[in-house]
Amino acid sequence: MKHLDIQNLEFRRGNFAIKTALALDKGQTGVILGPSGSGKTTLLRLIAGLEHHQSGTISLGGRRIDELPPEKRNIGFVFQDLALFDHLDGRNNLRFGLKQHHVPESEIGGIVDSLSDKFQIKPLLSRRPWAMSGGERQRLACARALAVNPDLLLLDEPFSSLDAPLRRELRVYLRSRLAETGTTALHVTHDVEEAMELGDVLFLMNRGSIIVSGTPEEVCRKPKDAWSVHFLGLGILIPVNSLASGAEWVSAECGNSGFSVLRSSCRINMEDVSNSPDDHYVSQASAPEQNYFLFCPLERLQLVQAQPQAKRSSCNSISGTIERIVINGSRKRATFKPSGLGLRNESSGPDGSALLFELELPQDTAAAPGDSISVLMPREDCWILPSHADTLS
Amino acid sequence: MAGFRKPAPPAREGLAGKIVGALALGFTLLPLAALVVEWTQGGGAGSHSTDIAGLWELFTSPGTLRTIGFSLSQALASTLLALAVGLPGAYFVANYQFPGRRFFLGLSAIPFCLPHVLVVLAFTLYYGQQGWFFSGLRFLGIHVSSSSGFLYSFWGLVFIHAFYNFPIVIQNVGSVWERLPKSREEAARTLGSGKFKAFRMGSLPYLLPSILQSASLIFLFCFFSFTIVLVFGSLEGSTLEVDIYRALRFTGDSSKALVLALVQMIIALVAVWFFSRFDRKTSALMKDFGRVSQRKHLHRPSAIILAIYAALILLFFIGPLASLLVEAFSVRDSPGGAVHFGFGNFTRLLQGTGQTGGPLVRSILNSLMISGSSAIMAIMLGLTVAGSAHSGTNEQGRSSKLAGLVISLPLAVSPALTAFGWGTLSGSMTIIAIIAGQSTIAWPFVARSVGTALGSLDPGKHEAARTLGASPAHATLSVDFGEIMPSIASAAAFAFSMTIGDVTIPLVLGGGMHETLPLLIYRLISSYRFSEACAAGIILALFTGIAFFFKEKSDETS
Amino acid sequence: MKHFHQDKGSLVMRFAVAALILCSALLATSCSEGKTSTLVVWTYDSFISEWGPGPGLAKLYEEKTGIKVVFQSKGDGGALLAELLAKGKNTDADIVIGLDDRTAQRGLDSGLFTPLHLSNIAKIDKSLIVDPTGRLVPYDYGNFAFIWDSNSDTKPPESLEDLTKPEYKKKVIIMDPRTSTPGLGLLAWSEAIYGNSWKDYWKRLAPSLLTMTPGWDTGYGLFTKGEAPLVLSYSTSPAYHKAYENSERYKALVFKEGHSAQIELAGVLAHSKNRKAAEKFIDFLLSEEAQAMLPETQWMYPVNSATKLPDSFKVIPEGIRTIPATIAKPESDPEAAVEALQEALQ
Repeated sequence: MKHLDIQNLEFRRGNFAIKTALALDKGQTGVILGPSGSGKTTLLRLIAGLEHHQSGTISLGGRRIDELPPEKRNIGFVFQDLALFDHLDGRNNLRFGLKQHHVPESEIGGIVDSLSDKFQIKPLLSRRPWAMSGGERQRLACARALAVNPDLLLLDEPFSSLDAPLRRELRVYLRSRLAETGTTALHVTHDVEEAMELGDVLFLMNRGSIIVSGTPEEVCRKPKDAWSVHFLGLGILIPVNSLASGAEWVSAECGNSGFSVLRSSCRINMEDVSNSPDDHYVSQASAPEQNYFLFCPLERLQLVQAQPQAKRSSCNSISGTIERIVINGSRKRATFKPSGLGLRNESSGPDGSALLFELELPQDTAAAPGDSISVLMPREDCWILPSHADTLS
Repeated sequence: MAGFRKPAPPAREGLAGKIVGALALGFTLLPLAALVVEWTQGGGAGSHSTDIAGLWELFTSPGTLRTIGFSLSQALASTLLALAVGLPGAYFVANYQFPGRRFFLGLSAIPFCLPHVLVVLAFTLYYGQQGWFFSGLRFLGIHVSSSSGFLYSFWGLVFIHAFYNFPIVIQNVGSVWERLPKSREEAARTLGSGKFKAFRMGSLPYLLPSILQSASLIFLFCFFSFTIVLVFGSLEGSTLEVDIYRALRFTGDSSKALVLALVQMIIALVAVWFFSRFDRKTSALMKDFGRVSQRKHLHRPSAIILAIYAALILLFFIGPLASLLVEAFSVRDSPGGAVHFGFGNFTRLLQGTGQTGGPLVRSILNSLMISGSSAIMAIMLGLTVAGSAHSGTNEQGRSSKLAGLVISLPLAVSPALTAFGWGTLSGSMTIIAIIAGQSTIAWPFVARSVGTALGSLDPGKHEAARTLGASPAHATLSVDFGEIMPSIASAAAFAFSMTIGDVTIPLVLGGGMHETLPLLIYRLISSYRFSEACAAGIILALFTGIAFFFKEKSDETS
Repeated sequence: MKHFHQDKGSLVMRFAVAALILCSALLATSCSEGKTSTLVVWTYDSFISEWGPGPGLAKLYEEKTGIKVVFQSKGDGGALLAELLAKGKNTDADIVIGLDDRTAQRGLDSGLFTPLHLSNIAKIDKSLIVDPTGRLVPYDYGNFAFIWDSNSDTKPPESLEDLTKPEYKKKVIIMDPRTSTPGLGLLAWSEAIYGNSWKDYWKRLAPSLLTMTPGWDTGYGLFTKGEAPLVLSYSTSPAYHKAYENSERYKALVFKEGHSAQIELAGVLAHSKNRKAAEKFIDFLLSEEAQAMLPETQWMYPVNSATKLPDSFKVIPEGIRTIPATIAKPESDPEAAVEALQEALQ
């Protein structure tokens, strides 16, 4: 039995809808990752009881909580704006929840002391929130939410207003605090790095539904659709015009280039693909343009300066130019723009994004912006993905 | 939260700023000085005492204490009732989307642009013995004999004040409430509070500054109430303002006027201090909260409550205003005779009944001339003070204490005293006194509005103009003036609508030869020509309404 | 960045100061009104309103003599006196019309008025001449009376004492004795009837009062609007309704103990540069021709006994006995009367 179990949850307001399921084990930290407007925050608010769902169930620790008012759910919530009570000092912000939970006055002092030790906010107890720094306010907000020992802690992008070093610091900090207290937490963010670092389980959310879940590694290794590849920046995506299937290999065509992919690496409904043993390249009319993408993970790519001497049959390849090179410490990253695909539309990535990819360059490369390069993609490491996976069932 | 932030370090101001501040202070206090001179010379007909001990004795006399008590208690009760009436409105306007929402917000124009004379008229027409309200009750078979005299009682006064001023609460509290993030209230819910406690923790502390800001403004308005108290009589007591007027106009008792004016000023300064303090907090909170959060659609229980609320507002507040409109077009051939609708009242005002021709055109021209001049004066004064105060702001854009006092003080000075003082100073040139007096009342509002605009000027744009080759003067004129122009226009319209509705100052000065529209209305009411008074009132309301409309338009662009 | 701010601020200021000076200059030129050699008369509101006698008198007098008469209203009668006393010798008027027997003493004490020699003075009822020094002369008079709305279901009272009965609770409108002539009149009336115990009368009267208005016109307006069945006014008020509405709904009540009267007075200021012309105007005011204009504009009786009364005055009940008037002591205290009322109501 999962600690947090959400089933068939449905919520609608105007054009906006959420339809999803989610499960999380006790003591784990789940991270909901998705672009803005995907419904992450609303999902958290539904769990906390701050919005009312139309159907479905939410259970926490084995009991149904979706009919309870927020104050009876025993869920901690760290808001994006932190929502500290500005008219109370740090101590009284901490005490507030304890008093609401009728914790005896004799115990409150001890709890506040140990919490403020743990969160290093001792000096803040007599200060008002407006006299604290961003990081201090963050820690106070987390401590306040954890004071009442909630069954679940919800964090709604609490780090979004901080600068990068402080974010990294607080991330590490939060992770160890959560581990220490054994708290089950659900964290919402649109920052991929943050998600990878904090999450035991990652939930990718788009258009009101969680489309992928799993450990960060699983989610990155086995992407389910082109959208998540694009969002997580996992590799190269090439829109596919037509597909034709052979016994073992599938041929994909994009503009005037052709690619081969293992039939078993197609994460799509193969009924959509024509089976023609005579002709490899039969145009597929029923699949709308750009519904499918060819994907190759970043770590499998090989970069070749200029035109490859000879086409290697074991690799698919595309050529293009280096738009820009960014040097970040020991790493060298290039923005690669494919050319020669004969695409009329510049923005033919998932959801109309531009076809530009961030590639890791070898340390000793002499490549410069404007150079033409070829990217080799081993055939066994290529995938065919739909632009959007079906809802997680 | 800036609203809860500690005060910024005090600002230093230049010499020019100090001089302008001192001059503006002098302009405000000159009338009081005139009264003091009058008092030391034993001037006035009924002056009893010319020493301080005599003043103290006057202050502690039962009559004075009763007047102070009455002024305070009616203002306090009116403020509380106005809050009670206004807060539900603020809640609905801020949180829900419903038809008529803009209408509710629009009501806030009324306390500022409907002159008191018209309020008196409207409430008499509606709540009088033969008025719509009690006639309606009688029609329904309800005979309320105890109703007689309600308007003339303490609670009647409180009732009128509250229903006249409550839209201020809707406007001011509503505009904070609609920006207030729900997260604090929600945080309290997730920490285990019920709805009510969560509201007390998460919303009330943030609404409180705006509630207190509105309350202190309404308190000030009611504390200075003049026309309403004057017309509905003073059987149960009178306000300090009315007593000052009486002492100056009728008994010529300068020592009594001085004592009352000083007491009034001290009390009012406390209220003004509260107002400025909470006004600053309110605007800081608004700035912090930023965007308006999404409004909910009405669902059943709240829709029913809103409907009841709207019906009560319609019955008690819109009713009197509607009766004003209907009365203006009700023509009677003889008092109490049959009524038919038409423009008869207007034509009678235009043509007149005597040999002298109608008073309407003359009074419109007088009003436009006098209020126009007063508004221009007020704009100039307000601009000067706001400009000099701004040049002395600190890094946070806060102006100094002196600037604050200079802008706030006129709100605490008795208009009757101001009128009298300017009357004494200007000798036979009553019109100068009227213009000086009215601009004293209006300029602080100009300074406040322009000051806010100056404070929110983006220095980046000025700097951009400089980097593009503009001289400092050219950058100021073309960029900064362009930015603050809408708020100057708005302030001008507001000053105009304030001064054109003023009746206190010409009444105190007895500016009979410069009969303005409100003075004409006052006299028509006094002569029991209600229909014609309403007709003149409609024309006055048209002017203030147009001015207010321009103000709103300018506010939108700024 | 800081010095940009300074620039802006002081520039705004300089601009505003320049505009301020320009504006005041404009104002000053537009407001300096030229003075002409006309007679300036200070009086109260209703005298000069289009329904008052002022405009007619001025027109008639200009036609007869070519001299222009300008009326300036100072508000109510009380305000008129207050301003006169406050301005003293700086009063820019030649004539004051609108003092009365209650306020005369304070006016006379100021020494601002000059004795008048009038040809028409012989035609005036001797009992109305309250100032033996001849500085303030009467031009009209009226008896104070309560007016009763005969359409109401209230029984008409028959004496001042009747008004204090519980059946008249909140049914009477009076005027403030501090600011109005009828209010002062009621004070004198109660003093004449009750002597030193007049304050007790006011205390007993308090519960019967609906409101106390600052002036006659407001109070009477509320009465005709049906707010109360009884109002303090003049015995001549029904004549107004007869003349303009042909209505006899409102009746003046005859009180058996008698009625106080108000005698309205006019005078010429001693420091006037047009004293002779001013005196001539007062004489004109007392002529039958001018006096005939007063009953249906002032709604008062003319003092010139040769004046013919209009038909409307026939509705005024007979048998109103006027309590003989003198110039009242200036110190009889309207404040005390109002305090008595307020104490009684607390």
